[in-house]
Amino acid sequence: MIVKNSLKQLSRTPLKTMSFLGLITLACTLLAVGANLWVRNQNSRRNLEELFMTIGTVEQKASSVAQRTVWNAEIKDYEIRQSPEYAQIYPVSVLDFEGAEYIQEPEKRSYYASYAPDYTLAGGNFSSAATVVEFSPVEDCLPDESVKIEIKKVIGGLEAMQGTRVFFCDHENENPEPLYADRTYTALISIGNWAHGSNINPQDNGREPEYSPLAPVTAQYNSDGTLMEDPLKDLQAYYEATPGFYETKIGKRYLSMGRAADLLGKIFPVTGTNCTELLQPFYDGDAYIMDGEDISQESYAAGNRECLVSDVFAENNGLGIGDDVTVRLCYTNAKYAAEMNFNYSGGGSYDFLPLDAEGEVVSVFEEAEYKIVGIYTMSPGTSGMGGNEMIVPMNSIEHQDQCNIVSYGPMNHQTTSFQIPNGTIEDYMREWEKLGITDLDITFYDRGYSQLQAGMENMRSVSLILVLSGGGMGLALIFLINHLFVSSQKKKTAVERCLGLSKRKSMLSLMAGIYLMLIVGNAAGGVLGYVLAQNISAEHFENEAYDLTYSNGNALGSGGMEEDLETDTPGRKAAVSVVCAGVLTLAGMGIMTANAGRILTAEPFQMLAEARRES
Amino acid sequence: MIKIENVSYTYQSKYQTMKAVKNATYSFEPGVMYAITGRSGSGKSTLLSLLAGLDLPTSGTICVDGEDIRSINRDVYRMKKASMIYQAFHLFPLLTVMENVTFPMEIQKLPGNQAKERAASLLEKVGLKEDTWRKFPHMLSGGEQQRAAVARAVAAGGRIILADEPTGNLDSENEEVIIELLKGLAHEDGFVVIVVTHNDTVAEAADAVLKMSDGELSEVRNDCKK
Repeated sequence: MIVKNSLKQLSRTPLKTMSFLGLITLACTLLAVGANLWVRNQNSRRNLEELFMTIGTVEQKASSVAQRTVWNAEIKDYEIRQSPEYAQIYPVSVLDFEGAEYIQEPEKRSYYASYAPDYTLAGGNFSSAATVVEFSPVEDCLPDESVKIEIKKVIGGLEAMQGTRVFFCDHENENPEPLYADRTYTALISIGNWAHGSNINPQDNGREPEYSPLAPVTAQYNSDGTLMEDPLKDLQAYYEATPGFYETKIGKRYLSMGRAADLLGKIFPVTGTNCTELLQPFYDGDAYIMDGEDISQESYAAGNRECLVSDVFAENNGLGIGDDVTVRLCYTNAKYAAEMNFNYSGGGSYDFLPLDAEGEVVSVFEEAEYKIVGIYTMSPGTSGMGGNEMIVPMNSIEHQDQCNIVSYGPMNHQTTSFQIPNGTIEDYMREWEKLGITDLDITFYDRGYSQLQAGMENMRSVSLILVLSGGGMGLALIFLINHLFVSSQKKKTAVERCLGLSKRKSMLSLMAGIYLMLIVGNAAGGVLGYVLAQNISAEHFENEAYDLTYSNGNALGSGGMEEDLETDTPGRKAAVSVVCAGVLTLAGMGIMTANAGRILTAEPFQMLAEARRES
Repeated sequence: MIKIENVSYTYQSKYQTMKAVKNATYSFEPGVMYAITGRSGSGKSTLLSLLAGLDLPTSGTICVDGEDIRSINRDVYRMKKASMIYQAFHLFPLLTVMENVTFPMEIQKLPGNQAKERAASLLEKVGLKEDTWRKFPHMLSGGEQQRAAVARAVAAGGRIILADEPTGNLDSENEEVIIELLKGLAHEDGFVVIVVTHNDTVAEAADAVLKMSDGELSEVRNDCKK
């Protein structure tokens, strides 16, 4: 009866009741749509965080350019050669500054050479590699232009040169010593130019390569990048191989260089990193794991002896997932990525020989077995990985950047990278620029996250507005209804109490209609919100797919190009709508019931007096 | 039937304490219409509210049919024994006249038909024609509304009618009708009728007149004792 009376009275103010019912429905609808968009947005962001990755690469720009004049035998004049100069070489720790937030700390990767006489290495075509030879000119000549020489003996390097005739020129020497056909000379030679001069058939000019001699100097670096001193001074570009020459210090140097040149053909590069995707080819998706799996973050962190090897290396050596590879590290290149010295398809080119400062061939400084967990390959037509390059956890290398450093250089885009949280490039750069370091060039790659982020931010703003307006409107309505249907009904409540209605029944009389209004309004709002959210999804998001071409989904093995992201199922939307309707209903019931309870604590006499005062 | 002894009531607010009723002692008998007069703020409405069980006295006792009002369920007391009539009628605006009158019977769970029959009889008794029964209170005149309020008070079934300025909003014609109704309830039906009023006409019509002055109750006239 009490409930019936309460509802009866509500039904007798249909305009008021329907207005509030409509407003409650609207508020709940807005809230449900907003909340659905918000949840979708959050899920999308979470998915994006998993799919997208922001890395930065670092390159130190030259602080100045050094110029030197070098004789050019072809033009018979001096020419200016330029080379970058660095006032200081920044350590990677310079990137560890206040405000920098990293997912992967910056790393400057050296590659290490693993001596691998027992493995079959793709290669053989070391056409531009230096070779130590004994040669004689075909005739007496002055090598101030290309002259024909015959390779009498290959001491080390390209065996195929044995017995061949090639063009030779002491290209950078204005006044070279004459060469005599009846004498034998020893030199470290490499291809430097195209043949030129009077000995060249004009039709062939520029077609044949010319070998130039290189002084047999050593270049070994300390771990701080300083060059160790070569004990031999004032070295010439070539020497006459007189009897007993190889007993001299210079002769012995040439013999070491020959062994060092041979060693280059028995090397595969090992790159230590803390995250596979910090390597640009993997980040770009040019390199991807075709078999097995990536090295886990746990293994990277723990420095477990696990590795990724190239498909070519695995195939040539009959290796598979779970097999061990013996790694014997013999030198460190702290300047270039392996790609610069080792071609993926085989062979390579070097601007150093693996010698120590004394001129001795480097020896193995660290040996360990690494288990293959993944085999990677390169997409056709792409580059970025060195031939036979093995990837290992940086922490697994005990002598990082300490031993037999044959080349040393500043951070560059291939060797130095880090990962930051998606969407924080601007924050990072703002903090970085505060340091005032201008000669480090930081380039970011985020696979288009920034563009997507703008859309996500817009969607989040819209959803936030809807949630706030829906929630705010809902709350405002609750308080308005509370005022009109509860607080302003003191007189009616007092009269009911005067007529003997108990507090409990008075509460029921007061709240029954309101409860019904809240339940019906919010239920309708929840349903409408669900339907609208469904429609919005259908119209705007149903066919949404993220192109994963440049995402780690591709790089780390999926190989898929597109993948639908199921971020808001009808079930989830329904659940969100129900929660919104439930929250508004319960909030309304709670607030109004509490207020009614407070009012009903007063005696009817006081209630009447209060009602009189308020009216 | 209603006996009050040394009844006092003190209002306590944040800013002041005011003793509205001071040691009131009196016995109200059935079949008698009492009028309590006095200036505004003299405590007469407060006393009436205490008699209606709308609040409890700060001290003293109110006994109804020999039971201390403190020891009984005052909701039930108001439902079954004492009913109030107000100057502003206090009918439920969204219920019809008939529904207003059946309301106290419905909360006593009297079956709907019986409640309606009794309400019809009471409405006829207070002189409201049938065409007004389905109207809402705001569609009636002040006199008609007060008659409906009287019918509602009687409908509860109690034998005590407590009226607070029942003719305060009425013209003289309707005032007379209400006075007659209240007198009839006392004299013919044996109700205890206590009317708080400023109105001399009402006071003159009462069988006994009490006066509240600064919270103190005193009897001015009681024709029933003659």
